[in-house]
Amino acid sequence: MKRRNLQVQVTVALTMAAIGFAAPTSVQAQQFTSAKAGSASPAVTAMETASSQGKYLFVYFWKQNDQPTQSMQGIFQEATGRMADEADAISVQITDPSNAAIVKQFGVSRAPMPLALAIAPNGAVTAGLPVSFSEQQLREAIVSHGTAACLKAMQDRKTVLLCVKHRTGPNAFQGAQELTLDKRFAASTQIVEVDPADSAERKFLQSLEIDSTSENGVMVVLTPPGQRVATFAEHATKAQIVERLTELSSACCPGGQCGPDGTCAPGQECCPGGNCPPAKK
Amino acid sequence: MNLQELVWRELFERKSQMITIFVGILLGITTVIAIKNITYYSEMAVAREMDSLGANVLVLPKSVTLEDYYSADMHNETIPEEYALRLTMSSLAGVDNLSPKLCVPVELEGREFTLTGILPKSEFQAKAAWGGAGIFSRPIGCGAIDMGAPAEPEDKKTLVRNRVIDDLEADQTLIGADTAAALGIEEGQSLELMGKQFSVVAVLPETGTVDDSRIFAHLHTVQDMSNREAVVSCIEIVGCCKEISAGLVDNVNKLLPDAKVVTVTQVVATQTKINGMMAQLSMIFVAIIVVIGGAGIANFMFANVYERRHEIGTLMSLGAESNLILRIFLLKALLLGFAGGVGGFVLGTTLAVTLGPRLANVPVLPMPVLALWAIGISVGTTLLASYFPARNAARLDPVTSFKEV
Repeated sequence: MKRRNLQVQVTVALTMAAIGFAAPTSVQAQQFTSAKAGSASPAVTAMETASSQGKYLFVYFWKQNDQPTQSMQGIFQEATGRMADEADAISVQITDPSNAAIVKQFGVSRAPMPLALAIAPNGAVTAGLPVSFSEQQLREAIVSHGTAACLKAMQDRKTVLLCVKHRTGPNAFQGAQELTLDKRFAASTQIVEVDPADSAERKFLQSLEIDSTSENGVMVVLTPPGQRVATFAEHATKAQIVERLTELSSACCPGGQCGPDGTCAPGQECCPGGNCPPAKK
Repeated sequence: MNLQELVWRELFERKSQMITIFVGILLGITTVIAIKNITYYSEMAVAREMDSLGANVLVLPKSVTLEDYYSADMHNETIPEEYALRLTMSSLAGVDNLSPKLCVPVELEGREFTLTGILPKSEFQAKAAWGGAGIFSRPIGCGAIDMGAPAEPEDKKTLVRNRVIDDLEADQTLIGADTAAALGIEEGQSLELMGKQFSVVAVLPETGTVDDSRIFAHLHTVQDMSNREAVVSCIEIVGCCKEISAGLVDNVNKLLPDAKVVTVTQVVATQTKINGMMAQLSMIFVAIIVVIGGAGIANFMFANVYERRHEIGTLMSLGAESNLILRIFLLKALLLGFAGGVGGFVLGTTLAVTLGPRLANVPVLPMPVLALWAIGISVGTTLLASYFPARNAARLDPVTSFKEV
């Protein structure tokens, strides 16, 4: 068994080395710890390693080793090198069969190249930067735990019930908890709890226009891909939330169909002011 | 002799004048009703067209000319499929939905059909949430809100309305209504396309567009079968109206400079303009009827009263009250207006139903509600125009009228 493990480790190491040398300027995986035996590919191993260490993984996907690819790779390499204490980085050529698993996992075989992805420790893609990007954009990809949790849920196509309160007890946000236990909503909803006292979450809460100094708990509903669609007080009941969500699942212009003069049909106004208020069909 | 008989005799006393004024009212009302009827159905057709189009922005290869919106993707030019992902991952506000398509011709049972490759939402949906923390501060979209994974299986037939479906397996196909009828295919059966077996998951409802004669399959399957690379014929975008007017098309153009971006507005604008013109025209005719028709009727009535002042005087000297004289003339006007309104409605509707399909290229049906409209305008105009001559007649002094003899 030991011999077999050794063989696997050697194979993984050689494959990783091959990836490293595949492109003249390819980025070496940084801060890699030992690859796990039996992992599908070096890229997948790198994801698992970064995740286990609570670090981000920046993945640089590329197809052809042309000038734009080399140029962006330089920026990627420099930026991720400066973020080595909080993120690992790896370069992935999408046509290399050994990278098929990660390419399939993220569905990037037909994506614009080069493409940089930032993957949070929880598996959420916190930034997808196609073709051209800057160091600043890569830095902004490192987000708070709350942001990453919301992004992950929405990438799994779930509605997020973001519960914000200083000290949450077992009875806090009872309506939200009951909703996630209801079999009609259990598969499509997820509670994410955020402490407004956490300074790391301040920017995230600001973007959602939530007062982080308030003592009152607040629940914000976020729907894929990242729309803030409703806000409730902490004590909102399950019935109130369900009623609002049912209302929201309809729209004044289902499918967004609008006429040239902003009407759905003669005499019927569509999306008044462009800010389409959800209404019953 | 009662009031009814008096009115009836009065009506036919000057037949030529009566017929002239009746024909005037009739033609005016006929024109208004015909225009209103055709305009209504034309607007309905545009609304239906918009509804069936779904998408309101098209991304096409630069060289493609847009003559027919429905068949805008039927050409040999292509754009890279990655454009769809660029749009998905961009921070453009107002893109509610998008659907990349690739069209290739296929032959089945000796007949040519169009095989259209479509990309289900599941292939790119998650990537819309790759925008990082910035996506939370974006404004809410205009379409139906995605509340996450639905509990019930998706109805694939919604493709014709929403232009995109959530999931489609590599070996699944959706068949347009005409194609299904021509090939005798039903849901659940299998179909061989270019040597590959597909299961028919849905026969789409009839739309009256070229979609009825299409066969839909997964985009990547169609690309593989037709030996194409990762390319598409067009990308349909369901955009929000406010953002379209706020420059969504320009922003898409900047993001995809090598593609042509057009809006459905450009395609249906002509039709909408014609509808607007017809609506204005019908209002002008209403004004003409009220002013010219009213003046004609008033003139006719004044002349009528003047010519028949002796008969009026005789009636009054025999004991007829002013009120009776007033009622005779107003009832006469009412009958004339009613007959003109009914006749105008019947003639206008007949014209609209027969000429509408030729002039506006839309089927036109009778609209009973316009009968009230026609009678209202006609009776209102005749009563208004006849009131003052009738009042003059009612105030006539019988002694003065006999003195003139």
